[in-house]
Amino acid sequence: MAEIRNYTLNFGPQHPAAHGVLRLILEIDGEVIERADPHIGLLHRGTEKLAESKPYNQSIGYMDRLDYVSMMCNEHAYVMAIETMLELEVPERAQYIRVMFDEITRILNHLMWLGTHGLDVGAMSIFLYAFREREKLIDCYEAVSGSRMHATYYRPGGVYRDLPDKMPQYLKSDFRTTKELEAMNKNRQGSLLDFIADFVKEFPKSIKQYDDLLTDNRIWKQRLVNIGIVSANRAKQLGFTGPMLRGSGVAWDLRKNQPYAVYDRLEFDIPVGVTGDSYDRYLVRMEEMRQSNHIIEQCIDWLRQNPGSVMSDDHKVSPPSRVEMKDDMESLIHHFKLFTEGYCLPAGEVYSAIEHPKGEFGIYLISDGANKPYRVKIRAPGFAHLAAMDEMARGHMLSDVVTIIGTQDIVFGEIDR
Amino acid sequence: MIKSIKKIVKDFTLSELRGGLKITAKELINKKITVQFPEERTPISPRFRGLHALRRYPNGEERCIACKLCEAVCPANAITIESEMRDDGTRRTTQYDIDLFKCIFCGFCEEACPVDAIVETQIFEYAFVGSRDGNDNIKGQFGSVITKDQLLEVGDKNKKMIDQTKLEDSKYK
Amino acid sequence: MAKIEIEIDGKLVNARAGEMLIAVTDRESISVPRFCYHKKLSISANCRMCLVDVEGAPKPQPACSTPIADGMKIHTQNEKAKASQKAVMEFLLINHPLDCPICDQGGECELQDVAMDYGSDVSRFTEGKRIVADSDIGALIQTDMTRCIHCTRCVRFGAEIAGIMEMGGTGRGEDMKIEPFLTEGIQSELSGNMIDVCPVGALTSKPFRYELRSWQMNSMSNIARHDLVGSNIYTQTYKGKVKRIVARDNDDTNETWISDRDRFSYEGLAHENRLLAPQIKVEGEWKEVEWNVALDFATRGLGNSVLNNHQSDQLGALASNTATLEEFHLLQKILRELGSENIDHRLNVKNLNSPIALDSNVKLVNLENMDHALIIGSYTRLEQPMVNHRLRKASLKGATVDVINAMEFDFNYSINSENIIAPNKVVATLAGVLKVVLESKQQELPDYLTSVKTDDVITELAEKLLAEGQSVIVLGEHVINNDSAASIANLITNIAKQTKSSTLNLSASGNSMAANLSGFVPGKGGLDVNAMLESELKAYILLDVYPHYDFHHSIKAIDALNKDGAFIISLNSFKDKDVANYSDVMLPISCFYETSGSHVNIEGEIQSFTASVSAPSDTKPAWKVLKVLADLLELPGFHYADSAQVTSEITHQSHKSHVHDENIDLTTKQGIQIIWQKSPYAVDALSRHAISLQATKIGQMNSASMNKATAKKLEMTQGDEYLGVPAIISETVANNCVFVNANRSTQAGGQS
Repeated sequence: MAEIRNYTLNFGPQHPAAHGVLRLILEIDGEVIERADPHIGLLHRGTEKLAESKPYNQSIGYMDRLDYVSMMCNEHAYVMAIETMLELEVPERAQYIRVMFDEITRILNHLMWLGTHGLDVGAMSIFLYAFREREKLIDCYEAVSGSRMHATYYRPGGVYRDLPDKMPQYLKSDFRTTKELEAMNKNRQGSLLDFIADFVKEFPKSIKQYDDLLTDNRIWKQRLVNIGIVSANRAKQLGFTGPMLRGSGVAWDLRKNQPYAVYDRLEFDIPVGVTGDSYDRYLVRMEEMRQSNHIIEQCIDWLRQNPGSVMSDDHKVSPPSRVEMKDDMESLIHHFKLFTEGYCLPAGEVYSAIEHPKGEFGIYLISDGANKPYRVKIRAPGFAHLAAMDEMARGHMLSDVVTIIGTQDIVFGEIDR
Repeated sequence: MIKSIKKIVKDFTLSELRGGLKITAKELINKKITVQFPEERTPISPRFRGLHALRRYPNGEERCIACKLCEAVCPANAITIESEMRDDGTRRTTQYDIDLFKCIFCGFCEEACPVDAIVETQIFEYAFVGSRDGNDNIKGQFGSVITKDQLLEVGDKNKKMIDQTKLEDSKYK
Repeated sequence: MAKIEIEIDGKLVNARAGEMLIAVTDRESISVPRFCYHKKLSISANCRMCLVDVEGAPKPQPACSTPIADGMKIHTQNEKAKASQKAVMEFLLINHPLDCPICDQGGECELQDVAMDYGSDVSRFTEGKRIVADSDIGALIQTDMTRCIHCTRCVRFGAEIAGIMEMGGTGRGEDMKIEPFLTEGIQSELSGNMIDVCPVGALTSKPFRYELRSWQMNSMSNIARHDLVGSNIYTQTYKGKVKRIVARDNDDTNETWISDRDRFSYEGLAHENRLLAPQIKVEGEWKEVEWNVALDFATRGLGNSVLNNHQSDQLGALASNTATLEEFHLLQKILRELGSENIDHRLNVKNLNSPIALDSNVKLVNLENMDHALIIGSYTRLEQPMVNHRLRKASLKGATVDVINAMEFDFNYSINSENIIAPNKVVATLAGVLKVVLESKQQELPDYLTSVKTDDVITELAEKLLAEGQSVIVLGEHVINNDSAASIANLITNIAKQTKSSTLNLSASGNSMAANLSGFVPGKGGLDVNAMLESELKAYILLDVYPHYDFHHSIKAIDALNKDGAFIISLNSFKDKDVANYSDVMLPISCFYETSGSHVNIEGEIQSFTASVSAPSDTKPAWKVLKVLADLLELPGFHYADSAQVTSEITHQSHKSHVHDENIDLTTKQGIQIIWQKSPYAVDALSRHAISLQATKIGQMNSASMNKATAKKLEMTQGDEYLGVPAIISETVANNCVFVNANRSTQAGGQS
């Protein structure tokens, strides 16, 4: 009698649905998954080790590149860790800008997630619609920092530069008539805040569009409902955070439970799922986008009314302004020392976590008193989620694996670091 | 009862699928947001971090004084500098290379420079010529490592754009 | 000293009575900022940066000039202390120029570091700053006096350590300037240390100007091998090249100072005159070849010339005193294994019939405690700067120093009696001193002393040595040109024994102590260098020999080596015309800092070091070359994996005792006596190629000094060339004596 063995399939690392470089070894019986074994490390770049050999500020760029679809949130956790160790006060305006950009990042991340999840599952049209909205937000990133994705915008003590007064415009070209050009530039006539305000106004329509496309769609429901169910207890035991946890019914959000920045002053709700399947998580994330939109609205209002400085004035840590630096001796000395040696953190350790779009992103920083960290440990939310892959995928079919990977919102930058 | 009849009708007539198709159909005839590159460009802010350039003072003197702050702060160690005293006694670089493969275009060098010598321009459309050493014979071309002369050339060729963008952004720094 | 307990920041610490507060805090690693305080200089208390709060005192006290008292309570970081630190820092920065980006001290600047840690982060100063015009003080130190914060460390250094106060403060208040008193710039042989002590970028290294930032360099410990002290240094390297040398603390050898020669000679390492590739002479033409080809050629050459015919007594090895201990050991081991005792390093000694034998039995630290010193035939200041520093310290403490020299020199401490005595009269003088000593101790006089004349000078010299307290007799380099060198040394030994004085033998510099330790002198039946050259040996192995500088009579030596038939293997770091002429194989070896090895200093202490950079291009460390040569000659016992193994072999072998002649011969030669010295910055090939050193006044020393009478006899006038060296007529020289400091490679080079 022939021996019947499970079929071992190598899902990835080169696979459009493997979300980066995931090598998933699947043992399948027909189409049913018996075992899923994720092999990671293909995107390992030695971030934590590199951070040990660089002054603190030089590692902010590394943080961007961890979860490369939600850049500023990563920076925020790292920068917050340093500020906690230094007991550095961040000006309120900087806090609001950070919150606003965190929420913009959340929308960026969820749009990316929605687009790619839909694409993997088979709903290909939402991909480009989501990216159409992402373009506007990425333009915000570019206006404020100079780079569309990896901004390196947050610094310990605040943010590098204040929001610009002018938005860049589309320029004249043979392809556009004057009227078209005017229409394209309509929302770019004011400052960045006006542009974001316009986005905030238009975004609910976009969400409705995605909603109409997917939420009631029977195919979508058939693909997502009851797939990858995780009970609330099990989610807590597995270390899930973020939408994965909330989708399972646990009302836990760091913005409400351990508020940081100015979240305690803002009004927003936390969507919580019921069954803990992929469909719930989808709904949670959709609602989170709406809530983020609302938060951004509140931030814009505050920022409009409260001009001020966006960087701490403790020049032992944050460099002085360029005008000061060119004029004063102390400022020049501090500028020189900060950009060559950097500031020293007092010896000690801190764990600082934020509500990242994917979950709880934490930075555990150990300092030995030098200008470089002794150890930077990055707690990536996706790591715990991917670790539960086997449990979630067992018993499902091959195509559900794609759904589960998507619903976990895996981005390899943060898993492999 | 009516609810269930409504539901059965909806199910059979694929109502939500039709709704979805309506959306995609509308998008089909919608104005496309595609930007027809290279004939038109997406908007670029003055803070854009693109190709580097070395600037000069209005009288033509190069700004860079070989202070090595940019080299020290570069997170990727992309900048290599050698310096010595020039014949007139001033402090100048003899070698200023930026390895564009290592560079992460973070803008720290621009932040660190005390004399606004090294800046990042709005140029993102450029190409290397094959080897690391580039092709010195073709004007305006550089290899994956851009040298001092080439950086000064970028600065000279795009002086107006650089001056304008840096002036606009200066009040925020 | 009584032990006292004081409280600093709530912590009880022990202190010694009489100590200043800052010494206690430094010992306890409690940080107190300072600018003008330096542990080796006098206390100035003018910067006011070290102000700390002493309980009971109404105003904050400067820690550097506050002696501790029992029960003192000090706070270094409370409100009062912090406020005064901030205030002083603010004042110091008021007139400081915004030079950080262009200042070489950026990154290692005490002002920057203290401003970051203790100063304010914003400036309140909106007025104009003062500027100071710079002066050119030489080829070694660059001034940017606008940056000066008037800590007066350089002033105090000049006055207290260098012995000449070359920098001084002029003007008062805001107009105060630190500037050189003299127009010729800074002349001291220790001037480079001002660069180390200056806390800001006012005094920086001129050769190093604008080259690198401190954080770019790798700092590696090493030993300076130019003199007999073996000053401890840090070689700072970048991309495999030595870029700068700074002093390393070692209270036993060099305290925190190094001479200019040690500091600036590294420039020669990159000179274009380096020998970079092995070469062999084929049919009169030089060919660059690979190492294995060159070594093969060398081995075969040795075989053909001496080894195959069992004529190893026709093989000789000569080495200059720049070799490391390991290199001396390996070369003499090779020769002795091959059966030759013709080994010598004393290339510049005139008379080797009887070797100069004088012990050095005093530690450098103890030199400071001498009550009396007699210096014979030495200008210690330029020849052994760090030894001179110790003698100066002794003199400042009250020691009397007598000098017997052929010429007046500018000692930087007071000399009790400077006796200008012609070289051929020194032995008679010392004999007289011994006679007086023995007579005063009522001991029997040996025969040779009976007819020796004594006079007041001699009696005075003797009485100083006999007096209470510790004395040291220092014999310098000038004796190597003396026919009676051996007798002089023996007389000194006897005098020292009778007066219970210590002795210090500075007659051979560089790493000569290592040469002696490894037995790099001819054994029984072996020829010394002069005999070797006269017998026209058939084969030589020459280790870093530059004939125009290293031999006593360079013309004769070059002629001897050029004689047909001699197969000569030269291991050199630098190219040399004469070496190329007489050699058959030129093997490029590493220079200072490019090899691991050991230096033995005047105390006999073996200071080992590792290579700071790898040897450039195709050069190799000489010890490796010798090891491989030995292996190719199939000599046993040369299996060394690293130079440390060689070192341990040397230290574990029994010391070869060298029998020397204790004879004392008082016959004197008549006629013009010549003392031929290499200029202080031309002592070895590396210094000769260090362009900044050569540009200094000391570096340009190239003169044959003689008095009017001698000049008349030689029919010389000022500016004529005496054996290729410009003549200087000066009454500071003894009669019938010509004192030559030769730098440039001369036509004659050597004695006639």
